[in-house]
Amino acid sequence: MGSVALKNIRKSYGAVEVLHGIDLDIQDGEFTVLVGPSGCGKSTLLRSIAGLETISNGDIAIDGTVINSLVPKDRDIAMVFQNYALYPHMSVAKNMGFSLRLAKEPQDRIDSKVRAAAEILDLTALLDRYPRQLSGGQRQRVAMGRAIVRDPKVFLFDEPLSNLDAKLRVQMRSEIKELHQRLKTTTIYVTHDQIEAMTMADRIVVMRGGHVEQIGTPLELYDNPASVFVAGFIGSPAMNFLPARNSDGSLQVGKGENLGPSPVSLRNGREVIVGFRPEDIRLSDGGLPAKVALIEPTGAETQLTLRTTEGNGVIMTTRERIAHSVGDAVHVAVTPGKLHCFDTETELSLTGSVQ
Amino acid sequence: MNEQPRTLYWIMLSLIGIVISIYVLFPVFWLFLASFKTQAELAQLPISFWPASPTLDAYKALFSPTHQKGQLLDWPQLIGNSFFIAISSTVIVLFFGTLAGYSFARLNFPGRDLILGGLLISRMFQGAALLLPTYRLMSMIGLQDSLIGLVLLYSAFGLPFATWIIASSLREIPKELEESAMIDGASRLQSMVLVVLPLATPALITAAMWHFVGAWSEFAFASILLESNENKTVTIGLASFVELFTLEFQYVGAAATIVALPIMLVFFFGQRYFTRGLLAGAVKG
Ligand SMILES: Nc1ncnc2c1ncn2[C@@H]1O[C@H](COP(=O)(O)OP(=O)(O)OP(=O)(O)O)[C@@H](O)[C@H]1O
Ligand SMILES: [Mg+2]
Repeated sequence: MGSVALKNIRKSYGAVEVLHGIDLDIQDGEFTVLVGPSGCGKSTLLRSIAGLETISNGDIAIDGTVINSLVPKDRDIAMVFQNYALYPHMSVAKNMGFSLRLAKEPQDRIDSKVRAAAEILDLTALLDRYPRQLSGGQRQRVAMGRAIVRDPKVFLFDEPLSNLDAKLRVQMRSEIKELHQRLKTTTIYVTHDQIEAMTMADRIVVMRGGHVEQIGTPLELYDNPASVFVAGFIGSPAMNFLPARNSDGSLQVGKGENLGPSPVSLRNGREVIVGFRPEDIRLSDGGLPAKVALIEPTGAETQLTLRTTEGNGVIMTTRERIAHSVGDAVHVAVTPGKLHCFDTETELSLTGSVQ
Repeated sequence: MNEQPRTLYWIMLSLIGIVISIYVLFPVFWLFLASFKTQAELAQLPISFWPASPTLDAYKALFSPTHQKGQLLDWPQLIGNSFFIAISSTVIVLFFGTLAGYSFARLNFPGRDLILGGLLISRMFQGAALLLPTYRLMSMIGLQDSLIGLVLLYSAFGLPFATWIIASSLREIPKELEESAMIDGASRLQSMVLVVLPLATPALITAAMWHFVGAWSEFAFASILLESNENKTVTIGLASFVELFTLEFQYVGAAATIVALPIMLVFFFGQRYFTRGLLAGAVKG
């Protein structure tokens, strides 16, 4: 069991407040990813849950018990750090058994737990090595092993993969995910990589400047972003945004080129920000005129960078082969129903349920 | 790159090194050799370099009770005193230096960096200027002719630098290691003892060596504070040869060799850590 409830968490360093009242409910067994740009307070929030930072205000509860005043070791959590924080002077086995030794468990219990964890993580052959004799991926696994031998209520990960190269990152991503499916331990995972967030999370918490911007499943965030920020942050390449205006229920950009019907009823003539994803537009005979600025084929897909008459960049991805070359004049149309609409001032979504 | 100038460069450099070493070490070596000579050989002209018939008489004499009666100073006692002072003050310095260094490296308190800087500056005011004030102070509290007094004094002198070395090396140890230990169930003290200190061994050894050598060879304060013969230290013993045995260089040589021995042993076994410890401290702070 390990549900986590955060109520109005605030954290200040001196006079500077870096968390401005975070509310979050995490179900037992859920894999929650905290994502957001650098400096938005992800680590601070995670470290507050771990008890490594004292919060200035609010309540942190695990399984309904408020743990604000408990020291880290009494919170029944385990944490994996970005730099792994393996004890350099201890072997892999000693590293993994450290918490059990501190808890004064009998040596044979420690051995069997360490061996079981090593089995799961494929570390059995490395138990006698020292951290400096391991590769990055192996260190990463030892750090996870250290967390799982304790069988805590909650796993906390702070950007555990950011020190690995791209290929290993993808591999470890699936390993962590598989581990979670096997152990079903509540997990809070911090990353600034939206792909990690999308692929791993049951639910994503998008943070920005010490606030929660939006919470939802990966596809909820993708399909119904609550703000320009979330829309631009989730998805790669990012969503396109253009200034637009409502004209009799149609959204028009530039000199009155029609993008399609507004997804939401708006006052006539109202200025908005319109957004559409790169895969939701295609070349067509009519629609928004643009020039091809760049063509980047990846094989499966081709990414086009287009420039509108006003000079705005628009990215388009397509699985079809492109006959055009750079400089060609083209027209693009947005797939019906795929337009997003945001307020110009607040940048909040005007679309659908979020309205 | 051209090989020849580089080789030449190294040869030159080595030669200079050798010349400097000989220049510095010759008197030491000569004294060492003198300790194996007889009084007669030392007195004869021309001066001989190697002992004609090496003998341990000088060493035996230093440690023989009859010798002590005649010459006032009891060398086994001097050595014992020096060891007592050097070892106890090293233990004190290491203990408090570790706690203080840890606090400076890890805890946040007002004026932390100022105090740490002040500690280092305080070292600049040591030496001759402090001799008389210290004497006054120690006599006021009745510790002037006492080994304990000297232990406390050396500890006070040694603490700033030890604290500084230890603090700068602890700063290099990622704080996540300790945080991880605390999440794993360690108390602050356990995380310090089980995780931080083992990683700071080079700095601890450096600090200990530094202090031990300093305390073992300190002369000025010992000579003005210690009055009774049974309280004196090896450095005072060495200096007293100036009056006692002007011509008996074999005793001076033997005593100097004995006094140098602990220092050489310390460096021999600690060298590895010593360079590492100083470097670790040098990177930051
Ligand atoms: N010890 C500290 N003292 C003062 N300010 C701090 C401290 N630690 C973090 N901050 C500030 O708090 C804010 C949030 O930092 P935090 O480390 O939580 O960001 P993050 O989202 O984890 O960023 P990143 O993706 O770069 O790791 C930042 O503006 C940072 O400057
Ligand atoms: Mg961070």
